[in-house]
Amino acid sequence: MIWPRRSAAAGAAAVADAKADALAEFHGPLISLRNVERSYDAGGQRNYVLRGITLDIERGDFVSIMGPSGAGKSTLLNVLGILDSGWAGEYHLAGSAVHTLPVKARTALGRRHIGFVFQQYHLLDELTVAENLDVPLSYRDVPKAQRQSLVADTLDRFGIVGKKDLYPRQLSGGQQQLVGIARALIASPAVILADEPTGNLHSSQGREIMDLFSELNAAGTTIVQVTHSEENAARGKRVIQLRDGWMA
Amino acid sequence: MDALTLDVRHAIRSLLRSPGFALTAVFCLAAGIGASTLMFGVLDAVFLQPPPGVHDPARVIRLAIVRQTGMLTSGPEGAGGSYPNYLDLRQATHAFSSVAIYSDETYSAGRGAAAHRVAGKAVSASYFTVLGARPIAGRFFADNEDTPPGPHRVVVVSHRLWQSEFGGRPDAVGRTLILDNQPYTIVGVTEPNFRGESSDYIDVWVPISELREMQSQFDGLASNRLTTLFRFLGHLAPNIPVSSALREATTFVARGDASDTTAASLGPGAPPQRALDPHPVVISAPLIEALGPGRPAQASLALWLFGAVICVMLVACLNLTNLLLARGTRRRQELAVRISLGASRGRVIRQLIAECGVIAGAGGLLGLVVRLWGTDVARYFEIADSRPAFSGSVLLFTLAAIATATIVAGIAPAIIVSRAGVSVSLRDGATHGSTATFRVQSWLLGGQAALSLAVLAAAGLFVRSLQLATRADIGVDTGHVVLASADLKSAHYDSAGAAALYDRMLERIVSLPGVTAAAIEDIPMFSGSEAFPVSLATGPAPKLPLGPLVDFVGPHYLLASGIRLIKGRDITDGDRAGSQPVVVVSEALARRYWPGQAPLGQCLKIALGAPPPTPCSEVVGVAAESRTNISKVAIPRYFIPRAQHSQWWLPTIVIRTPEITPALLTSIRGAMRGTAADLPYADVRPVSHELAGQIRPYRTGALLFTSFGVATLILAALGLYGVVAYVVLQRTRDIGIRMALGADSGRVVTSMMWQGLAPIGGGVAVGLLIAIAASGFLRSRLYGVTPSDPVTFVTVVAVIGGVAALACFIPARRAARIDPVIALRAE
Ligand SMILES: Nc1ncnc2c1ncn2[C@@H]1O[C@H](COP(=O)(O)OP(=O)(O)OP(=O)(O)O)[C@@H](O)[C@H]1O
Ligand SMILES: [Mg+2]
Repeated sequence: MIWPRRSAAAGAAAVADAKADALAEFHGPLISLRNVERSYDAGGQRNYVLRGITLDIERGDFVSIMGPSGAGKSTLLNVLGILDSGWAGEYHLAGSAVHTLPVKARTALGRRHIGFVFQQYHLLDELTVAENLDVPLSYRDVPKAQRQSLVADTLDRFGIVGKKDLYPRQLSGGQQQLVGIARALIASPAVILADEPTGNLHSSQGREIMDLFSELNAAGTTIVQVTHSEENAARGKRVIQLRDGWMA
Repeated sequence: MDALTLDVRHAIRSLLRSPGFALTAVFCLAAGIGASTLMFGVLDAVFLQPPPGVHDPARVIRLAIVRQTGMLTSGPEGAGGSYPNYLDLRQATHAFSSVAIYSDETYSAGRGAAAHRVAGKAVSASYFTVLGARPIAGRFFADNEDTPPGPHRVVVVSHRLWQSEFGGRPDAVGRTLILDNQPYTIVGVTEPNFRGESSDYIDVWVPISELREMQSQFDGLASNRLTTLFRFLGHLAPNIPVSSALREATTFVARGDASDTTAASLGPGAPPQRALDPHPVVISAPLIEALGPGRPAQASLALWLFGAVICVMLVACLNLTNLLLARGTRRRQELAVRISLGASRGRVIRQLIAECGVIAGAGGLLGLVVRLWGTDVARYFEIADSRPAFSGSVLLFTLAAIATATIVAGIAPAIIVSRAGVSVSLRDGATHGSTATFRVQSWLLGGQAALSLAVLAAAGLFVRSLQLATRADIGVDTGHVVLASADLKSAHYDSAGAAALYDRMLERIVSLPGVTAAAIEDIPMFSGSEAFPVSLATGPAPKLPLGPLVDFVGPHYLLASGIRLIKGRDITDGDRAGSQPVVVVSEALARRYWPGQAPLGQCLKIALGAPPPTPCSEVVGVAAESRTNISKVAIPRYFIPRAQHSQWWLPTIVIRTPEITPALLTSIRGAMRGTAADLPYADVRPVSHELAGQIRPYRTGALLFTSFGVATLILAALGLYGVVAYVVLQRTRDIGIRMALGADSGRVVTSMMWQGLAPIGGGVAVGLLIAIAASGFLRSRLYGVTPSDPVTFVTVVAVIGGVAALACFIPARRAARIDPVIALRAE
């Protein structure tokens, strides 16, 4: 059973308040892509994975990206999440022109606004649940006392206090993904990027995760998810179809 | 056997497939095994090898006579006995098949300008019998050729001297060799490298009866039981244990001593008393000097250095362990396949150890190359090591080192890796395996750091000692002083004649261009010291911890030696026999004896052995502190005119010059030789040469400890580099996740560096504790530096820290270049 005991969304919103001031002054779309392209060198010739992606995502949106395998969905998510920097085009995140920033500044910007949820959860194996939650905070130079209270808060909100000293391999897949989402949210990002968050889960577990996303979105968190499932896509406000790197 | 060849063949093939790994591993081990083989060569020569040419060395022992009371007390370290004691020992025929007596001598060989010093021994004819030596030409001494009184002008020469002086010609036997101006007939030549019982080169052996003192009426050493001048060797009779042999020997010596009726006199006026302990005890020491109580300082240093190379070797082995662990993790898949194909775990372990053995073997062979420096290293220890570089014992040691390395380095990785191979199919076997691997690696890194610290700390202490010893101020103007002496022992000068000869030499030297001043001293610097009882006009002199030491000096000694005159005057020509006795005291002595008073004009009574009452010597000068060698403390001393007290020691002319040039040294030598046509040997050397000799142990220690320290440091740094590189590789996914969670590259790099630095920090801390505790044992080998010297330890920790940080930083930087997109997809 993974359902949060208290309203996670309300709590998340409260945490978000702390860092919202900078964002509050900016009124355009949270994410804005203009003609973004991504290609790889394939034995001397360019192999385009993303082409001419132009896309706006407003604050509070809940976007589902769909498309066949190899269409470029993950690649697009990596561009949005500033994990990738080998693309061309224009990308504005919360008013900052990412394409003009040097690498270090890009990383800092991503750290400020973005939380990731992965299909394989990607929890750190040798850290406990509580320590996993602490990792993003430690990278944001949050003072220790505040980190402890944020971790305690988040454990409580997601109803995993009893699991805080367990290691990832001692949790079920659904529980691991719950921790993954809690970890993505703990630093109050403006947007959560989720690459097939339910791809490794049973359908009932998957449904519960999607319920959590709906609730978070209702409380104001912007969500971009990649999914193969029409049912999950239906939870979002709109769907973007990718085919061979083109937006359909 | 067949299985072994198969394992080895597989191992070689598998290593050839990863040449980078194999080469690194082989070079690490080559360094470790090479260094230990090198030092083993020294240890072997000093501790294990009996002197060459000795037949049945296990049955040959050194003998000494210990007396607890009476005028002659002597311990095992340098003690011997008298010629009559030798005759006593010879009666112990049950105990010994033969007994020999000998004494160490130096001779001037040749005449005039061609004269040079050779090391020699005066020995009984039985000396060669005891050692079981064989001549390669001629014969050794006949039984009656050693009996006092002589003369028996015969000599046995070394193979080396035979080659250099006579070109190895057979007709050298029967020809004449001039020793101390006397013609000796060569009767035999020893085997190559024969050095008798000695660890040094010896070139001539003459009969014991040829000692001048043996023939002298005055000393009468042939019948005097009061001397400990001679040393003894015994060849144990068959089936006699050492203890009962010594018991029998003791009986005969005690009986001999009891028959002695001579009473010793402690000087004119003193009451005669029996000088001999009625209960002498004969003790033994091993033939190999370093194994006994008379162990030379260089031998102890060699032991310490061997400890250091063991550290080098261990660090190299731990490196190999680390490399094998890392490689094992990468091969887990392959091993899982082998196991699933039916290989037992034991089989897999054997295969892994075979690989380690192949690496160790290659490393050992490569390490043998280092042995080519063996003679250079032997020279640092002043060892006459004449064996081939690749002697049987050295090869055996290398084999043992290879086997040890295989076991030390190979077992742990084989067990860990094979276990991981078994569990690879389990869900988290891989992560489990690599955590265990990393934990072991951390321990190894810590161990390497501790070992490096130990060796580097020793290196640091020796470097500091060398620095301080080099800068040691003995109070003498060391850069501008030359010492000159002549070997008059053989020249048949009586005391008066020799004194006159020295006066003539001094006269000529003073008039040489470039000589500022020259003076004679009777107890030359670097050649020991002497003290006499002293008292003050008011009564007994205050007790000093050491000294005061005396020196008998000629006019202008302070000027000639550069010892600063603080008050009053130097010794002058006016201080003659019969004039007012005077003394120049050192500042510290003045302060202790006459605190708060003007020292000039005070009275110092020096009991030089003349019958009482002791006259007052008037203090006419105060000199700055000076030392007779680079010893760590300045001992209070005083100088008295040698003209007023005819003490016959080893007169040496001290010469001061603005600049020491080879030409000056030659002209001094010429001036000395010009005074006497038959002067055999003129020894002219700058004080700095004597100092260099005293500093040599520190130089040897500093050089070798530093070399080995740098070797451990490089090896440990390589290991650290490897582990951090391995961790970065292992944690690629982790690092990707952390980057996605917002870690910047600086943070990723530091956290990876920390994986290596944390165990190093632990190792350094533990190593510090151990090194500080153990360094106390080095105290007696150091100069002017406490074993826990903070400067040394801070420097060493800083060096290790710096090198470790670099060794971690280079591979850790790779973590920053990990592309999170690729890392996260790699699942
Ligand atoms: N580093 C890379 N080098 C070369 N080609 C790459 C690289 N990364 C991705 N691609 C290619 O880009 C294309 C899109 O990959 P991407 O992972 O974005 O697809 P996806 O839509 O997420 O597919 P799936 O649904 O299977 O996850 C694929 O054809 C892939 O081979
Ligand atoms: Mg994908």
